[in-house]
Amino acid sequence: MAVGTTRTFDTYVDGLNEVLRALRKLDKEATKELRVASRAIAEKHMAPAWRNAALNYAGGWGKPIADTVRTGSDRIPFVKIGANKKTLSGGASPTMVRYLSDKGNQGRAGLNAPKAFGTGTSWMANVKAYQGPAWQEWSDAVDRIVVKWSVL
Amino acid sequence: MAFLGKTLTVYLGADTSKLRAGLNSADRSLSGFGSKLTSMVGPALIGAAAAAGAFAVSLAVDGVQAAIKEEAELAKLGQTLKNLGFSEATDQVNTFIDDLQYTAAVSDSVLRPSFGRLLTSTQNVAQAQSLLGVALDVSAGTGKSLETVTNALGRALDGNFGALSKLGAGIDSSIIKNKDLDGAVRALSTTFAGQATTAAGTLQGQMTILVNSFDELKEAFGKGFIDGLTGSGTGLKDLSKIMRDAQGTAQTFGETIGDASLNMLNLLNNTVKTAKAIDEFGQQNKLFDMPEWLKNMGGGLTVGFDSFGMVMGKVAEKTDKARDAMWQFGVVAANSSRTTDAINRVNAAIDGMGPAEDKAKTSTGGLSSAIEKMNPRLRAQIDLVKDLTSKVGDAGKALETARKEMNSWISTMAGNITSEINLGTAFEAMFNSEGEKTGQSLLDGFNKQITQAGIFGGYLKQLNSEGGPELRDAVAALGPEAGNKLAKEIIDQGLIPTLQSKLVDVQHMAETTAAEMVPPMLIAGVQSAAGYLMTMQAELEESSTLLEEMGRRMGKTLSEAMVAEIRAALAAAGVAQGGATSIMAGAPTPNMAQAQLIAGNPLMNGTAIMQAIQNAILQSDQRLGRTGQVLNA
Repeated sequence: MAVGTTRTFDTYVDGLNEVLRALRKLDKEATKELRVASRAIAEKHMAPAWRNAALNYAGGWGKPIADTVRTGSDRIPFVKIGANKKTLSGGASPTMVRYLSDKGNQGRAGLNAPKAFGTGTSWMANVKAYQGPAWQEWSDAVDRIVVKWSVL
Repeated sequence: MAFLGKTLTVYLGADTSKLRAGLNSADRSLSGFGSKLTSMVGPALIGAAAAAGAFAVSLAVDGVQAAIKEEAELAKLGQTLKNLGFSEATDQVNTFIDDLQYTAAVSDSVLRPSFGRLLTSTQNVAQAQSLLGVALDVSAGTGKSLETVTNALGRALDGNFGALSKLGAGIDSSIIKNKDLDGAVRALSTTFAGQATTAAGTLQGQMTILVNSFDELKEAFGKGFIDGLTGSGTGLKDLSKIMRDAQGTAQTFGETIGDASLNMLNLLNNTVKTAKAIDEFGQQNKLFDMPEWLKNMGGGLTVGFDSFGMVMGKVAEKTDKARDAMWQFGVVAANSSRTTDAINRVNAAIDGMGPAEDKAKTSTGGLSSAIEKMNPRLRAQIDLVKDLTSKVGDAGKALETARKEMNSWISTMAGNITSEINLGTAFEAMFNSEGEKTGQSLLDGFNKQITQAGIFGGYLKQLNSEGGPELRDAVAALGPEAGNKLAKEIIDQGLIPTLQSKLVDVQHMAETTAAEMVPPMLIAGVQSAAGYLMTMQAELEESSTLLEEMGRRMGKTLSEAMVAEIRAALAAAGVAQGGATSIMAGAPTPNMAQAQLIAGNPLMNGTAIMQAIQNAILQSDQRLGRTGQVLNA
């Protein structure tokens, strides 16, 4: 059974869509290169940060969650977190415990949340440090690609 | 039903337009706000860069083609000079033709074959140069092509005066009959003296010179490009030798790469190595000060990015002619490779000045503003070239109109002379009003009409030579019957000079009066246009050296990238000791270390290199999903 994904964004950037639109004026190879560069940036900065946050702050659910962190191909770096395979001992999947481990009974479930999660660990809120360097590298990649694909 | 949750996808960032959607998402706690893109080229620059890229490709292709054509023309003329024993005069002739194209408003590609034709017949460089000057005058005066005139002169030099007599240049029949070459040249020189200079001085002539200058620029760029590509000063020679060597053994070479030079560009365009080449080009290119400006700006940022925009605007305004396009192309190439470093320095300065977010806004806005000022000027230059082409086209149409008018005049004049030649009238003259025969035959009547027309033509010639065109036209309009009577009267009374003088005075008076009424705005417009063309001409000439250097640098760096690509391809394919042939045969890889050794061997022959190029192209095309596309304008 297919399920969707929930998208969220670390930061919001003025004019980002405009830049992405402008890049389409260059050769299609330029977009391909940007995808490769973005994935590399996600592998370098985002994936380790999210894995570490899960391992260090998500309590006993951290390991199964960290194992599901992976990157993908897009013009903007991204990671996916969670999987529906039931890998935890009680039969839960990493996706099931991802949100509850973070919010506990402070989230949407409220007091209906299993007591084991308590008030949550807020492990997701701790993942911020990579944003500056990641943006810098992505900007550099755009610069480089524009230089490469504009003259010939 | 088992619970299946949604996978969480965390993007590094999104545009602010997605903020609301992000906040409404289930994981809105992850969302943040405030990050700004502070180190990135703006959308406007990307657009400008794309435009510059297209312009550069067009320039390179046109330039290379022009350079190839020019080299062929030069070689042809050089061979003619050599065959006739004038090798030592080659440089002098080339300079003569190069100078002549600017003074006579005729392209060197037209002048060279014409000169060659005259040289073949005269066997004398100085005489051929002199006759080419006469031919230019005749061509400008008669409207016939230079090729037609030089062919006629060449045939006359060979003893055949038929073509010369058909030029319609007013050479006396006795000169033609006696095959008096000196007399013919003297007559042409007298009749058409100064026509070429006059034509070159007109707006159309200046426009032609301008177009020729632009073509020369492209040739200079192409020549530099080829020199750089081949890594030598001998231009196409080495490149063509490699191609020739390869043809014997690589049967599929032509099928794969077609036009070798263009496909080399395609190869380089399509391979990862090109990036290095472009970067190097940008870094090596010291002709443009843009990176230096950015550096200075980073150090003295107190005036903000708006000053950058202002500087950009001023520079763009100052160089808003042809050179501007070359300059901006260079700016994009040279600037882009250093933009990151320069903007990093700028950002460092921003960080030290206050809240980062505000400064970042200034940064992004200022850069975009500056680039937005530059982009239209690049577009404007491209439009200018298109406009020039259009104007030249219009001038050509105007010339065509003038030719039609001239033909129309000839037709009208001939019509005036023969207006009373009419078989019907001759037939009617055979009978009186009673219908009785008068005794005059139809042929007699017709002969009379012809005689009248001949007399009329003679009168008109006399009026033209002793008086002028004004008197001639006035009488011609009357037709043979009345015209002959009037002309006879004028001649008998010796009134030709008086009447001609009065007609000229009247016409002059009318023209002066009309000229005095021309609105000043029109006069200023013509003067401004002429001045503008002269300035553009100077700008284009100045840009020639700049472009040649730019082309050389591009070609050189591309050449290095090509060598690297070849070696990489050979190494990757694992070339055996037999050379690159094994790549083509699909031979197994025997020894990678050995292959790399061979690939790095500078003594590898031309055939192996070309086969490796072919392989590299195929690999590149496969990577890119293309099938032997030819880079084309």
